[in-house]
Amino acid sequence: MREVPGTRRLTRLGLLTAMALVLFLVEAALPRPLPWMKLGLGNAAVLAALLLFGAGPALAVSLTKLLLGGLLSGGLGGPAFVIGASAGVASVAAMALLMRLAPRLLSPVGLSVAGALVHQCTQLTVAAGYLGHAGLFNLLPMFLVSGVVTGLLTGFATYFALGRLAGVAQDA
Amino acid sequence: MAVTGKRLPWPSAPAAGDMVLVAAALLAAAVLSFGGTEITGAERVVVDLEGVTRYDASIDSQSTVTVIGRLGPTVVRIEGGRARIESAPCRGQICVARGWMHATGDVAVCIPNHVVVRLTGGAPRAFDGITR
Repeated sequence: MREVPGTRRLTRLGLLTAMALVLFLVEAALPRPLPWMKLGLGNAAVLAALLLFGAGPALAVSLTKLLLGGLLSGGLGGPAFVIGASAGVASVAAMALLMRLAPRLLSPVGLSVAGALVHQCTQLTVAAGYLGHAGLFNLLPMFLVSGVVTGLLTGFATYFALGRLAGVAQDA
Repeated sequence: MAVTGKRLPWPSAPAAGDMVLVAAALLAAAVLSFGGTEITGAERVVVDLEGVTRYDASIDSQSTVTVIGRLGPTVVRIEGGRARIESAPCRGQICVARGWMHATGDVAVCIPNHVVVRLTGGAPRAFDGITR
């Protein structure tokens, strides 16, 4: 049977979206040491989409994850959702821009860290906008450090996963 | 398939750029947390609702303050040079988990209820407390 062009791509993006969503939901159910500390494992799938398919598909995976995640966790439209969604979009945009402007400067791990840092800064900025209050920026150092830690962890997870998937990447 | 097989279309990790990025972020965090105002015991406890200051008291006072936000009451406890949000009507309870605060610049924030409790240094004021 002849393969319909784009079907493989669509299937793989669908798989990545499902992975992002499952990781997001599993993580939401786990207890956290501190309420704002979240690993953001769902972003591993978003980063994989960015590396394998490019900026547009990565944004699509991220937005689908956010919308379905919001629906399934019941937070859709709430402040936490708006903050998380803007941070998610900003971090995809930042990672895509870095890849385009300096293609071989950062490995997937570095891209992940950069995305996590942008995520954290956007989160604080939008939250401060909600509150009409800049006092929140006192938390910036803590947010930066946790961004580095979570960015490294998801970055390495993505890096090793993609190493294993190199064959898939070739004919994606 | 081994990680070291074919040449991947991206640099292997960790790349030099990665380490520069991580070092820069950690440096920025260190400079921001230690380079600014030195950490001192706070003098005032300020409670803001919807960005408007509703309460401002000495941290050495002994009191329980309740502000009514859009979800309900947020209860702030001040005692013996420290302050915390004791209870909040929100689902996340992040502000309550923040626990006791005592240093200038510490903040506890309840985003759903639009409440910010912050500790400031500042010169002593002519009043012990202001309630609006």
